[in-house]
Amino acid sequence: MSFPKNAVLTAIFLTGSLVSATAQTLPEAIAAPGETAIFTLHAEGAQVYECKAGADGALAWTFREPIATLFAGGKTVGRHYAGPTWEYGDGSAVVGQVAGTAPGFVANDIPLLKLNVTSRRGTGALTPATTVQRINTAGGRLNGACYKAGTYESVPYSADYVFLRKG
Amino acid sequence: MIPIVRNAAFALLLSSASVLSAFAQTTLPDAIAAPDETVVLTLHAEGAQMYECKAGADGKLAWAFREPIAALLLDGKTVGRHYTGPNWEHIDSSAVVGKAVGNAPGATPNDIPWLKLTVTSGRGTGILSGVTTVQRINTAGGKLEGECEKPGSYRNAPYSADYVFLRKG
Repeated sequence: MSFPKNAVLTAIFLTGSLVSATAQTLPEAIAAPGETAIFTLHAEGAQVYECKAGADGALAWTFREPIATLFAGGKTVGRHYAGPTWEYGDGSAVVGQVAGTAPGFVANDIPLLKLNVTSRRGTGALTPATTVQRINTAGGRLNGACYKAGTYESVPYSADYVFLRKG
Repeated sequence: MIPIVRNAAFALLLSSASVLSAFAQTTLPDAIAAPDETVVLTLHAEGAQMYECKAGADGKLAWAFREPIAALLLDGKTVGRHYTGPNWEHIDSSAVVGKAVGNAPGATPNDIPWLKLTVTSGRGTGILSGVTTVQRINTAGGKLEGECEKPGSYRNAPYSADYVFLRKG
């Protein structure tokens, strides 16, 4: 009798931890207290790296720019690209600047980010956004030496971008 | 001894020649050639081909191509984007949409095919205005095949390619 009871208890604990993992308390470094999420878009794309000489003169893969499709409810609704820029299908777009980072889930995942919106254009869904969070990152990392300066390498990644506004 | 050495040298010559011709790419496969058209611009693309897990005609879940997403580069500068449509958009605001009319195999089974696309619409005014044909050549990567488990899930296959923009005459 006591074994099944423990098993049930374990199941409850497991469920509890799954739920809290989904609810996601964000790391402090990328939290945006006092801001309200407008919406979240899923991104699928690549982080593009360029082979460049570092400060030590050795050639290494250096992050160049992101390129990704933005999805909501199975529909393609925008794009994410150099800037970094997020552009929505209604013509509204924002550009951000990194203000905080936290490690990804595994070493191959690019970090979680908090970005402050520094400029905007067009008018639409993204217009009120003041902060963008990059969460749930998978992939996108590239480190190490390379052989030919000026060559590129695209590394696939996915992430969710949360757009927030003040208040 | 001498014949062996000579043969080895000969083999080396032959393999160098085939490597050279693979890189020269002066002659495109007939299926994607655009005779009588003039090259306006060639842009390098780095990005991903995106696939979605979907049931096929046989009811089995398999990765199905959904859309491309790539940065367009020229001489080390990012000058545009390639995305669903398929669209090619230059930062000068000119853009074209194409429709595939011919294809030829990539260099290896992992490489997406080379394509010829006819421009079906354009917008904005700039370097891509007046472009009538787009060729996708020098493809590397981007292929994804096989079964998948969760309908609606996505996967990216990184790729690079060169897009040649041509106009009539």
